[in-house]
Amino acid sequence: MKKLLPLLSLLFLAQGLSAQNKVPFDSLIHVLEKQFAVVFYYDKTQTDGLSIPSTTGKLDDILKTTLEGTGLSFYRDYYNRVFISKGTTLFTPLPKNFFATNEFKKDTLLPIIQEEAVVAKVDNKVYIIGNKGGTGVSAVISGYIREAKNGEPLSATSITLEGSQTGVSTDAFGFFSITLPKGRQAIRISSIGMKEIVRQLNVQGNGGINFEMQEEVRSLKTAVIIAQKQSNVRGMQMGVERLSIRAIKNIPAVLGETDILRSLQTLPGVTTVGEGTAGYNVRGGGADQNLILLNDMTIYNPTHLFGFFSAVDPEVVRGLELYKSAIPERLGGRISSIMDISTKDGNSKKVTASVGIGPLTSKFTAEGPIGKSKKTTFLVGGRTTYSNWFLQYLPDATFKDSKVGFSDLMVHLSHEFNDKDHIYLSGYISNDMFRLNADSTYSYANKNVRFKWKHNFNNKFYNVFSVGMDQYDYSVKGRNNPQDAFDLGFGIKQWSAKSDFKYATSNKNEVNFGVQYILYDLNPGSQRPTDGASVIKDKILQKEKASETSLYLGDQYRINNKLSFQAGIRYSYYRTGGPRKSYIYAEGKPRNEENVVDSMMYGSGETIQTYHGPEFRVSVRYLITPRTSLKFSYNTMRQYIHMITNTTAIAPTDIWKLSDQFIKPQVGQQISLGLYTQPGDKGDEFSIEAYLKDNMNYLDYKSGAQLILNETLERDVIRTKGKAYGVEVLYKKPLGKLNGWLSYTYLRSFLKVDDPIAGETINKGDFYPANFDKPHIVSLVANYKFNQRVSISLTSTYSTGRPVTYPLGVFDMGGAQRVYYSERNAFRIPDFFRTDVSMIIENNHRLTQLLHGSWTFGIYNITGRDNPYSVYFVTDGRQIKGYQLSVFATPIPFVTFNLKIR
Amino acid sequence: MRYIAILFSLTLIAMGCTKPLELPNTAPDNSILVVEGDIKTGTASENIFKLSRLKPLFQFDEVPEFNAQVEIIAENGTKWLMEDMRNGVYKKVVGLPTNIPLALRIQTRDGKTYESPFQNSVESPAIDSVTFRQEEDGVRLFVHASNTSSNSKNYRWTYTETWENRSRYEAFHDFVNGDIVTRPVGDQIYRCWKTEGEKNIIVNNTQDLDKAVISYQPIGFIPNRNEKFYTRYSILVQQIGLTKEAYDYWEILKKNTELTGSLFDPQPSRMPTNIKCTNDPTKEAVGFVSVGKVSEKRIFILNSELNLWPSRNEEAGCSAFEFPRFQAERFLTLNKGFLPAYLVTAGGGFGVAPSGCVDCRLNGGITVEPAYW
Repeated sequence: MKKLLPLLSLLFLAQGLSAQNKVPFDSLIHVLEKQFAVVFYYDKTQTDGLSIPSTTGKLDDILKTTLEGTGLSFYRDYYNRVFISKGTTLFTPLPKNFFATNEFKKDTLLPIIQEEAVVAKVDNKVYIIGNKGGTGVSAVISGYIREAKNGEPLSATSITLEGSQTGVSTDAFGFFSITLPKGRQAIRISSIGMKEIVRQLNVQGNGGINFEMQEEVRSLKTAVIIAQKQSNVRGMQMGVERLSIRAIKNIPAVLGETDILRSLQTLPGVTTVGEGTAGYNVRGGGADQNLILLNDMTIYNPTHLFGFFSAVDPEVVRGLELYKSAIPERLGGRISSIMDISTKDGNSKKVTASVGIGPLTSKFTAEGPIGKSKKTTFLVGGRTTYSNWFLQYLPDATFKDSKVGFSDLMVHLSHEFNDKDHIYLSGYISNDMFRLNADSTYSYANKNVRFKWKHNFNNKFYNVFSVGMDQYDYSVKGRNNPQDAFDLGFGIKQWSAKSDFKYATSNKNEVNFGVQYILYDLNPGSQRPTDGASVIKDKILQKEKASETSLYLGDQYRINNKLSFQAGIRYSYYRTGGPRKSYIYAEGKPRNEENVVDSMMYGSGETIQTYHGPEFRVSVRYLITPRTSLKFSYNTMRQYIHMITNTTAIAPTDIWKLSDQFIKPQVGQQISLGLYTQPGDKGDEFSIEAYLKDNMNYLDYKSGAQLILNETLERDVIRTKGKAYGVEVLYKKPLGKLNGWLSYTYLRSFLKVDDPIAGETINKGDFYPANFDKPHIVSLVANYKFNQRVSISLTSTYSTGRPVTYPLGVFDMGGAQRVYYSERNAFRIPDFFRTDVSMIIENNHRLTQLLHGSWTFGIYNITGRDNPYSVYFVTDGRQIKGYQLSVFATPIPFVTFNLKIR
Repeated sequence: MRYIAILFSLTLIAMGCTKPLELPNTAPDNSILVVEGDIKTGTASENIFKLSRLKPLFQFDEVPEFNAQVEIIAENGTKWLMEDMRNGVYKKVVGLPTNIPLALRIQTRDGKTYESPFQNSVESPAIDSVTFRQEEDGVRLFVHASNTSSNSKNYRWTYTETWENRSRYEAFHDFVNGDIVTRPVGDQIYRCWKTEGEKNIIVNNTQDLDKAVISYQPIGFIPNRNEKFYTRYSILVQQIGLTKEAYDYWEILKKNTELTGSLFDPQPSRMPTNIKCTNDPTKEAVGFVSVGKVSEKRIFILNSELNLWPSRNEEAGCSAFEFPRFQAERFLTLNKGFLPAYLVTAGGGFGVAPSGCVDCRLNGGITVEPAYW
């Protein structure tokens, strides 16, 4: 806050000095400013009545003539600023020995020191970039855009040349590279939730410059996803959703816990099978077809407590991007979507800490610079729970006498050597434990670490190299009887290295290329007796080992102002190897015990199976009018790892399986077409995207499949193929007192058994609706700001109920009444509808106040609709009864008080 | 420049509810034939098959399949015809060979023929013992079998429980046509025997076990104070070896009915069957016929073997009223729910008590003592 005052006074000063009146002198100064690319500073009381006789010739001569005999003198500095003053002449350079060191040995008068780019903070100032005299008519300018308050890099920030359509965006590091014509230029910089800035540049040659942006106080508490203005219309990407942490925090949350994954579900195309379940489905894809990256670390289980909460603490998150269709070629590995969550970098200006106490969790975050140089920053955020009490309120008897606990911790360090080299180190741990009815204890954990090094070769070319390890384990401890006491475990570990290059040859052309290597080491399951009396077999399944190598090359090219395209290819090579013992089955017969013809022992490192193939990523954008564009994209994706799950929702005990000679990689393709437009001049956006997807080799399971501890899983799986199609319509009003968005999604998703040797089929071999087939979804997010201190938010969602297999008839067998079920997913559970509201009241905004408080009042599910969480059937005496269980069946009010001490 | 933000939040919650769900009112296809029963090989086993049709969800009454011809056929052509019990049950005690593949053939009265495939008899080890353990909440029963030679790894257990049920008063008199008369010898209504089959599917396998040993396989649970242990209790446990397919069938059947519910349960899967209609492929059948040798074990548990198990229901309200004979007869004429309970030795009057305290048959069961008792 201290920084703001000098800045403000400077602004007032500049206003006082500069030409504001319509007196002849002032208007002529404007002419000169334009003509010579300079800025004048003068006191208008001193120049009152002056006039400029002529505006032709050299600037120095003109000024000399004008000021002769007035007692005024002028000085023009290296930044093309002209100061007119009375009496003494202003002289801006420092005396030669001012620093009394040899730092400025070479040439103290270099306009911009090349190694250390200056921060362009001021509005009415011209920043000179580069050295004069280079060849060519344009130059490449690069640098970082950060938030002024804490030095946080701002990604997805657009930099456009005023008066033209030239523009680029910053990457995840806040880095940009733009080619500008030489000479005096103005660039406009805009970013989500930031005050838009315009900076004056005098481009003389290639060079670097950094910018800082201020948070837009007015929109601080308005929930808006303002992607950079016009970006949806003009940007190349389609099927991308961005959520900033500000937007996430404004979506009313259950129990007052801000939740990343929950907020994602307000976006078109993202669905779940039930409220409060783990996993999500994107455009009718399976839950295992989504890759979740947290600072490039793969998170296999991003939820706590069966899926009630996201496992990533929102306090450390900067924002997230979800790629639904046009997935950049640098990303791959899953066929449906890729979610890229990035954490904040530590505050580079000061050390700050916060503590949060909520009804379910307590959390803390600390961040700040390390050392005096402030080149190194840290960010630590952790959470832990005490939610046992809350289980007592859950209606399901399964949760009684149960215990839960979870925690997560994120550590992120960054160090800046210079403008060329940055290194980052991220680490993440999450732990979950729950005990059901005092006999079985389930626990699971994510452990991830990643080191990243970004190196800029020059203004146009940079590389990001990273290495890391990702791990996910779960275990079940059964202690019911000494006779069957056991420990069951599963684990997956992957090491990966990645090198991404980005080469911006010009504003029109950008080349991306790189390589990625992943080494998988999977423990498919182990079971050990834990009591001497236990008759449980000591069983450890053979490890699965595989590697995945991908190379990619992509090019983004702007043919003209109207037409741009992006084309990329990713080629992945997958190999799974021994040691492993496998069976060979009779050709064309169902894979089962009877059809085993031989077994095969693969030696350590011996190749068992390889798969490889290209993935194409193409998108085209055509600007019909400056405010309307049409986009097309075609994508193919490959996935070599499969989640083995037989339940409707993801369960913590689901395992993963690598492709092998029997289980082929999943391959998907998607065609999408979109229309984007900006009606009116208030920044409103309207878009329609339609898509058609198909995929192969998604797994379903034979009746009675054994999924856990199955050495021969190939005998229990059925290959299916899927198809999905849909339309997403979105109207977004990002600005104004009333803002928000309304979306409608039409989504269909079907599966069909595609396995001639499976021996059995589902739905007689015809297409059947997938669990996540939800045809109609309407979602509304609205915020209304009464004034600077009071605002209300409303979120409302309607969706068709998910498909379900219902009982159709009953019969007696095995001493009780049994149920005869319909074809797979032939019916639907009741539709889902929920509305949440919240109101935020803030204290005054006085900067000097020590305590800053804000109240959030809200009601989750205000209509109290008992949306079914699940439906189930019980045999009650001689009758089959169906029940629906609702978890949040009544309006749930919540109050949160936030207090900040400065 | 440090600041600490303290976040405090308070949430009031009142969550959760379960309510009945309206199930689709679709007319089920009652052409689906339901077959229950296994082919039991070895010395003189009772082979029972129950045939019925699938019924709608909310229908109480069964739809037995009458007048069918049910026979076990051997691959070598030998046939054993089951006797029609006229209630959808077809049974016969036969000694079936264990070394010839056997199948079931059903001919229904609508002319359709259903057949199970020829299968070899699955061996099953003898049951070593059936034990019980009294715990805090009741008594648990277990079965144990050591299986060193048999190649079967999948088992299903069924059981029949029988227990003696005594009325509160042992009455030597009856009330006939307004008179209290002496009850004939052999017409006792004091001791009854109740029989019940299992309610759940009990299957297990030794696949994941170190040794092919069945140890502490739970087969039943009797909650505290249950009448089954008032006097004497007996359980006959039968064990049959299953093929993998048959095991899967029972597992699926069990999962589909006993577990289906939450999002974390497996989805109901299509039930496999090994019964096919040979002359009309559109006709479906439900059920799985296994062929195997059954081994069985019976144990008895006396009330005295358990800790503090009551020997009668103290809350039954069995107070008697004593009257002189004449008044007792009048009372019994007016109050149909009473019976003479005992003779009052001093004075020759009678104690009368509610019928349920005198006639054990009113609590279920029959008065015929089983042969093994």
